[in-house]
Amino acid sequence: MTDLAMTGRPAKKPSVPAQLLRELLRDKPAALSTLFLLLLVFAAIFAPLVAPHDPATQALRARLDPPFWLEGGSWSHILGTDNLGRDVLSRIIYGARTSLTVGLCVVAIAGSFGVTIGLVAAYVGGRVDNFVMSWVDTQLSFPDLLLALTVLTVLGSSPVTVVVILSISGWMVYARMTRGIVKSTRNEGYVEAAELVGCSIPRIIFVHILPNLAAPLSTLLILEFARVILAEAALSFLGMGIQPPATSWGLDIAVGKDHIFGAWWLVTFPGAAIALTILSANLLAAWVRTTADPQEREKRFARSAAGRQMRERKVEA
Amino acid sequence: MSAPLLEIDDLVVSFTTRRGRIQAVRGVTLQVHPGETLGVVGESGSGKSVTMQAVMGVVDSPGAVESGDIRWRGKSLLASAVEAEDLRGRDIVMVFQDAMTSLDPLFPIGTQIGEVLARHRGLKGPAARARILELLELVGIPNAAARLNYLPHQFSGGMRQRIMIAMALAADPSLLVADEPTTALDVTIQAQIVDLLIELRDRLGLAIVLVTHDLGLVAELCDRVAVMYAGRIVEVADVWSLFAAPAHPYTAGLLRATPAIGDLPERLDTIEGSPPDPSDLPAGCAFRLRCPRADATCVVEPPMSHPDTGRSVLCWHPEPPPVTTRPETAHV
Amino acid sequence: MADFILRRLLHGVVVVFGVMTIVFFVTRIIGDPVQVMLPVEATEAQRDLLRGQLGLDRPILEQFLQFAGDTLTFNFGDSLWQRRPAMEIVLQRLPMTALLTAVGIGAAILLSIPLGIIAALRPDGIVDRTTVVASLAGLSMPQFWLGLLLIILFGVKLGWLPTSGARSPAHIVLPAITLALPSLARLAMVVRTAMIDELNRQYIKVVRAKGLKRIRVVGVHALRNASVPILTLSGWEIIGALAGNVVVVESIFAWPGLGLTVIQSIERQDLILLQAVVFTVAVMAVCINIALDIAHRAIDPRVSA
Repeated sequence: MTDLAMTGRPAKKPSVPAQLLRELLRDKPAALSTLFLLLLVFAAIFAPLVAPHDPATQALRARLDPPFWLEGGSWSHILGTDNLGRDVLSRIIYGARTSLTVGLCVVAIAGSFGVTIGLVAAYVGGRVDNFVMSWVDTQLSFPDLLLALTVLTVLGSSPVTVVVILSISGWMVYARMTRGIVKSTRNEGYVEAAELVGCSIPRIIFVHILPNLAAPLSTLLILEFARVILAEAALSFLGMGIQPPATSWGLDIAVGKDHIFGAWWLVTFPGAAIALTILSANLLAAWVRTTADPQEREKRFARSAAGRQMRERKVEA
Repeated sequence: MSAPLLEIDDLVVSFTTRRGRIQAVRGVTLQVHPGETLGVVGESGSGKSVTMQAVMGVVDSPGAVESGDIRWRGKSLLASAVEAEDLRGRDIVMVFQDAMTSLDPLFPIGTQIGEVLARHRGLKGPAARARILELLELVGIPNAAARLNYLPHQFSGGMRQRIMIAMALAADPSLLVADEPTTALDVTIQAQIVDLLIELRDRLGLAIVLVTHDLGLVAELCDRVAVMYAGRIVEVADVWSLFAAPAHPYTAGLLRATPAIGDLPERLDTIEGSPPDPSDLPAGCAFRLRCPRADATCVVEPPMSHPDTGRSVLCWHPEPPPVTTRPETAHV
Repeated sequence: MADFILRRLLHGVVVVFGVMTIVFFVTRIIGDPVQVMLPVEATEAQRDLLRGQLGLDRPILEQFLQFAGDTLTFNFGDSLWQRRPAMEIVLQRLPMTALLTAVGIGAAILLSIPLGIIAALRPDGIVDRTTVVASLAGLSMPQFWLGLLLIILFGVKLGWLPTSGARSPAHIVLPAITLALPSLARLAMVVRTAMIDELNRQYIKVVRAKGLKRIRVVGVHALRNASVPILTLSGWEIIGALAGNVVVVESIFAWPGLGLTVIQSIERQDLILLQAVVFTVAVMAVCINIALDIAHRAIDPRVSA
């Protein structure tokens, strides 16, 4: 028997970042999403330089000014002003700070906690594993918005409580995923081999197991980042999240709601900022999933049955 | 010879992919006569399974019949989807490669066989039940009555393949297409399934198309053999002539690469090179880059030639028959 | 089967108990309910009085036992806001939320199944691409923003539909759409993916080769195999609506259900009423989960082994 499957593909290997960049540019939606997110991060970091006005400066004469293209609007307030005469665009730019900060903090806390718990559960196994997993299942079986609202009512809301609560309600997905992947890779031949030759547990975890986690984990992090931003916005909208004088997209929409009959722009623009951020994150996550995960990539490729038929290149006779 | 049951006429099946259109089957012509057993051999990707899937109307989704015709007792299957649907599962049936995944996991096996009876024979209730039991007994499922409501996962692979065969036979077909029916099974079970196929053929007068890459199986079961390479039939011959004197260099290579029982050479011959990329086939004969007999002529597509009766070869330079001393010339 | 239901029920009791313990822990130990419930200018005497009424002056363990007993008997005490049993208010508001959820999520489920199936029948076809793009858009919009945009469009600009309250059947249209759209987006994606997975499986090819009608191949064989994830997500969407999304939707449209009750009790710092709502929703979530497990077994007989 001859296995000649190797000859078909020439081996080319440009550097990994360059290759990734090229693939990203090929996927237009994902490339645009990345660009948007980068701009957003930039605007958030350099908000004082980027924003045309101070987000808190009130101008009683310029209350509820419409965006510049409508009658009564002006170039000084491109997206109009709110009921206190504050510049909508500047508030959106500062609001990005809140959303991104809360999103990153929660993802970092919940992610590291969840991954650790998942690793421990997978490695210790037995009772610990059972306990952790039934805890995860239990917490997952009851959605958290209602509990979060209750807790925030009692504790009072602040950025810190919001981050803590969203972290507590978000770590389970990481734990479950990590455990699943670690458990399945532990059974792979190469990990068993590494254990047999006496590699230390940390070495096995960091060198042999965690790389398998990279692709699904980055996808999950991006998706969770989106989910957290939505949750923060919803809490702030209901008045239980970020409190004035701080700015937040959800908070601004709540203000706009009271003026919905006259000033539609107060609701529309901050909401569009949220929607675009979430959409970008979703598109980017989809791209990461298909690109970084060889299996998904294979799946994408194998979508054409022809590809599948043709790749079975074994001389079987 | 009697009128053929199935005629495949210059069939082309192509897959539209983002790299362009790829032809998996490139003009296959083939007949199956009542009661005969035809072997179709070739490597994976040679188009043998796709050809049969086209007959059954189950080509994978980006693929479609591009041109050519498939006729059942003279009537085109491609002309009317509705009529073809009535024939499939009744007159022409197929047993697939992977018995483990071929049954719907959520329905009892009795129900899955009953579906065929209800669809094609209008049988329901006790009459259907009796027929199902009869079929299961025919394929050798012990204690069938008690197992009608079992789910597929409660059976072994061999048993599942028997159930697949029972399901195929439900509506009294005239032609059974068996696509590598034994590949996924243990060796001992393989022999049982082969015996079952032989028994059923003899008992029911079935015509069988056996798609396989196992030349041993072909020798055991078949009357005639068609050899496929890169989407074309390169040689058709009756089984004795083919094994005794392969005419196409590819067939000859295949035979040299197959060990004869009791005569295991120290090293098996292999065919040099790899199958061509179907999106990038060489001009002319697709086998020429791997062919020991190729020369400049082969850049031009060879025609089907007929070096002796009952044999067709797609080659400019067929291997000479071993006994006769016929000069090595092209037969146009 | 009975054994299985019993086990699930037991697990459900644990979940409800867990939720209520968290509520107890947060309200009584981390926070001070009296602080929350009374206005800042309340005198120390008023505070002590309320503390006595709520039994907060007793040892914490005793309080917990009392709380657990109250929970078991569905007795959470009188709402501070309305001065009548909290459970009574909850049961009075529940039907409106049930109606909104049934209409909204029901529509989402009923629409998503044909949509997802049609998309799956021709991957990368027009219906499929439209479904994927629309779903992505639907997933990315915050629900409350979606609701407000609908108000601006249909209430303010076009003036076609009422935007607040529940006085006529027309009042349910906008809140139901707002509740339905994100669920519809998620469900359609799952139906599509599950159906594509199933339609590519070997047994489908076999079923087609049997000459069965297409409607039976897709609607019976593929759909039943795809229905476990579809069912799971449907249940999850119902729970998600009850335990969160209705709060947002009802507060936007002033729909007088449990969600609005949550907002009102938060505004009035009525922890007792809030507890009763959380408890009710937890019980409903548990019941839905059990129903899902039972349905799962009915669809896939392999599970019951």
